Amino acid sequence: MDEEGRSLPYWHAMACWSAITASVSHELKNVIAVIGELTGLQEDLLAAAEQGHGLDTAKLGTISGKTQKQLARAEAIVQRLNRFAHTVDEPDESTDVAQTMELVASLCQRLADLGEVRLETRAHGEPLRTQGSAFVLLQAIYAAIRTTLQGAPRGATITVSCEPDGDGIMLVVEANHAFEEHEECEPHRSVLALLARELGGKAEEHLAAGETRFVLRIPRAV
Amino acid sequence: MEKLKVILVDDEEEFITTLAERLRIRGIDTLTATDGEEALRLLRSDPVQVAVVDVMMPGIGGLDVLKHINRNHPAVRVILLTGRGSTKEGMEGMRLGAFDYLMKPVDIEELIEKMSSATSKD
Repeated sequence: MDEEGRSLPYWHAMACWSAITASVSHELKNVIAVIGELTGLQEDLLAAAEQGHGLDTAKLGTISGKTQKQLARAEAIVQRLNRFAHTVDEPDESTDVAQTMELVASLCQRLADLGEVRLETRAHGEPLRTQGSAFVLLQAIYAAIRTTLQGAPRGATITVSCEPDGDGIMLVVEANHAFEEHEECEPHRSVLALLARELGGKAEEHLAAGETRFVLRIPRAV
Repeated sequence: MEKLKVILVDDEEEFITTLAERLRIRGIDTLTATDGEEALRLLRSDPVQVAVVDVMMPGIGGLDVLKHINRNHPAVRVILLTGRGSTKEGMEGMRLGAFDYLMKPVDIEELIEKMSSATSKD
């Protein structure tokens, strides 16, 4: 705890929130920038037509199609952001683990892309639900991904998966590279056990001999 | 006056291809590269006066591209593009030798004005 009584999970929650919203806003800025250029190009073509250069209707159609594609991209980004925002709605609810895992992976995709790392998910066939805070679950998966991502070399693959584990659920974040300690990933790594405990489970690290594997064992909701 | 030749470097391909088309309409010879490595390769074979470089890119980031250009192509002026809401990255870039920076989305007239100022200082 710091002098104002705030704990590591508190700071991690804020850091997670801040990093994800910053990343999503960057993605949206890119979409806005593309749409800005497409509409600008449309104006250029219309201005040229007014000066008697003829109107390229096929080109206008292409621009319109590209704009629609960017709007669909923006819609998907906003939907992800909205689902993320609503994870804090209920402190104790039945949460679909695979869906949360997919959401975190999609929110971390841009970070992975920037590091030229492949981020994959593998869900178990049957629905797996846990009882607790969806945000704490999301934060735990995020912490494991960020820790794994930090030392990942270009071309590495990180896989996030979940499967039944006796009466519980096993969530795994693993990579095909040796784990490297980084100052920046320490807050993510050190909060993992606390978050797992808050979910009624435990966290494990398997970092020996070229292995990078973080495991969360959490209870399964009936 | 020599025709202005520039390179746009950004992993957002649709953004640079469309912006490049608009710059060509305005008489500016424009190359594009979707990552830092491709940009540096192009610069070796096809010199330009101005490089417009996005700060956040996979692989070699914009600030590293800037450092490489300053070291190996000192005549090329660099204008950085930033998607951040603050001026922090842009100021850092200018400290590292960028001519100027712009925030996304870009106003094309402002970009052309900055490109012209960049070359008129030669």
